Amino acid sequence: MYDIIIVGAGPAGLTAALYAARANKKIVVFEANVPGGQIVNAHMVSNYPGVKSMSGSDFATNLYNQVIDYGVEVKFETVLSIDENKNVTTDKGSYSAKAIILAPGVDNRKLRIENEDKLIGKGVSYCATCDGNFYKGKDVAVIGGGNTALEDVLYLSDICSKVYLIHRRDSFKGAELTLEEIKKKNNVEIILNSSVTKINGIEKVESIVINNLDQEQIINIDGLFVAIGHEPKNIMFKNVVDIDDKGYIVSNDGVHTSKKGIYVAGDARDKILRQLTTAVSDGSIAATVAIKEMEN
Amino acid sequence: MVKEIKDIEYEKLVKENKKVLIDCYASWCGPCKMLSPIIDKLAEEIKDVKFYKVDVDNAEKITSDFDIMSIPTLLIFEDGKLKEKVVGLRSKSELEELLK
Repeated sequence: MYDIIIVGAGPAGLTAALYAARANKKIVVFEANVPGGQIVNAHMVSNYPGVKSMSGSDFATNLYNQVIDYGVEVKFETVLSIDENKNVTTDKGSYSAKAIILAPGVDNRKLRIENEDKLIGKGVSYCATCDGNFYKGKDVAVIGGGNTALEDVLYLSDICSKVYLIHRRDSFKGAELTLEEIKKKNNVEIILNSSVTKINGIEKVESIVINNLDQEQIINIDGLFVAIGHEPKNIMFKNVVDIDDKGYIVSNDGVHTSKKGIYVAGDARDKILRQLTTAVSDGSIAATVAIKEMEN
Repeated sequence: MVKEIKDIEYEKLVKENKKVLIDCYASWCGPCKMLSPIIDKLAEEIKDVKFYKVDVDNAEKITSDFDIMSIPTLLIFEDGKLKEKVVGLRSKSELEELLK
């Protein structure tokens, strides 16, 4: 029997683990994939107070090692279900605890268009910092309008010969400073009010079809980087805790779910801002509240 | 720790060993870095598979032989032949399944 089971080893889950470990609680963290969560894809973290600039994977590695050094057990197992009695079933076994902190994070959102799945790893990518170097001197397109899309464009513009930035709206959500940097690059072409409707290619990506104000246009590219945000993956919890219509875990005060003894932290919950700063904040609060309520 | 090899060595190694996993990574790839503790664990636990890693930045042969365009890519060989090319992150248990 554990004191706390933490689902997810991203910044939120690992911060919860750090706080719980420092309070001498018996905990385990389950991670279905790799530790670090979304931040490992970030080329540079420049908006975390006190850290001037660090790669996302270095940040994640530091946090992971910090937690491991406290003796925390991180098990690479996929959580299949939880129940209201705080039992957790993974692909390897069943575990129980006095409290559960859900910090499963989010997945990359897909375009859901023809050939997208078929061409993943063959020109379609969701991680510019992972795959960018395979497109040296080639033409690529980035789809999206948020911070990730803009950072990806900036990163790829130093590697690729041409970068198209395609966005379905007429303005960007991402940071103004990054956009200004992009506008200084002469190998970046910004195409607004356009959505990608089809990816062409058999063995690998050859071109994309975009729809610009009802005009179809074909753009020849070797790589398509999709950066249209994220979507929750909370399906396995839906019978136990309340989920909103977008799929996020409902938490009225930012830490409690609808079930006693089950808490939520990080990108998986309904919140205004999904950032490293808010993820670690959530994690520390979730662990502190869980411990306090368990002792009462 | 998983042994780093030069990519030109891979043909010899997959012939000499029944089962081989090659982790194709790069120093600039965040997810690749985070995958390495999992590969290390697998290497500790699964003794009948030889584990190696290759830095794709210095590996033109292996990247062109297997058309690697995305990392992490894991190449799994059995009896000298490519059995599976795993593109992107997979859970530890999925990888265990593939290595059976």
